[in-house]
Amino acid sequence: MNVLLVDDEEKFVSRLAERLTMRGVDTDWVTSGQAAIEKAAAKMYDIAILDVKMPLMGGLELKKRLEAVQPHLKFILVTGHGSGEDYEIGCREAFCYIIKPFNIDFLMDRINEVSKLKQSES
Amino acid sequence: MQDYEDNIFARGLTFFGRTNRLISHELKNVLAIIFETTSLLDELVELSEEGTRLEPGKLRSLARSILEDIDRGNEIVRSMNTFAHGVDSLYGEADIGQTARVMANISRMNAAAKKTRLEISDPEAHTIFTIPFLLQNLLYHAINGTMVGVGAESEAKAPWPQPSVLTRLQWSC
Repeated sequence: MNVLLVDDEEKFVSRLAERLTMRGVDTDWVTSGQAAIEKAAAKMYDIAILDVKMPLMGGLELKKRLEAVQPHLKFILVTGHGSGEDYEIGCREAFCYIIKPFNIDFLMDRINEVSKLKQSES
Repeated sequence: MQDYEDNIFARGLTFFGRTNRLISHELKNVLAIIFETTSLLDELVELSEEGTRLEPGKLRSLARSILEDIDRGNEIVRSMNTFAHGVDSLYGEADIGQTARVMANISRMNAAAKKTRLEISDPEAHTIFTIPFLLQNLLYHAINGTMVGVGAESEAKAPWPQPSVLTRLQWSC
């Protein structure tokens, strides 16, 4: 699985990327929507894990822009918010919606679910 | 007079709630960073127990990062506390410079303003008798509007006016 992580908090995204790599997940990380679009133009990904609230380009807008470049990309939205309304929007817009801080095993289970889904779709 | 005061609180509640949401979101971000850093530290130690060499420099860097983020969290809580005290009483004395600094700190928690640098120069204290919560509200919207308007990765400077041209703020009841 090729995973693209996008979060404006560099420490958060770089450490999460390192932990995913330690688990055998091929992970790239960036700290802005524009950088994510540039990455997606150069490499195919299976999953994009996006922070919802980012400066300039939030996760929902970034999702639309990435879908235009890679239509088969699956999305996981990540946020520090936890309102019911945010959860409904997140689940509607993406494969799943995770609230920070989260257990990495939960994220790995979601990544494995996407992997199985992609295998069944192909 | 009572209607005027009731109106202040009705409008103020929205601002108070929105600001607290902003602060709590920022605090959650800091907690998430600390969580990832300590989890990574834990996993690196586990790997070293299985025989992988652990770089002391890496450990030191991660440990220092946790301390930095705890400082950042403390700063957020300080801003939150100062903001919360703004509603201790309807009328009271407020230092404009200190209030501006706190509201600037809170403005920076807004995702749209995060990458804009704001510098407030304030050589001395300027205390006024006012409605402190309204002052917070006014300064937040002025500062936040400036930071968002200037745009990301830009710079905004707010030089403090000299005492002779200090703006007088008045509310009529």
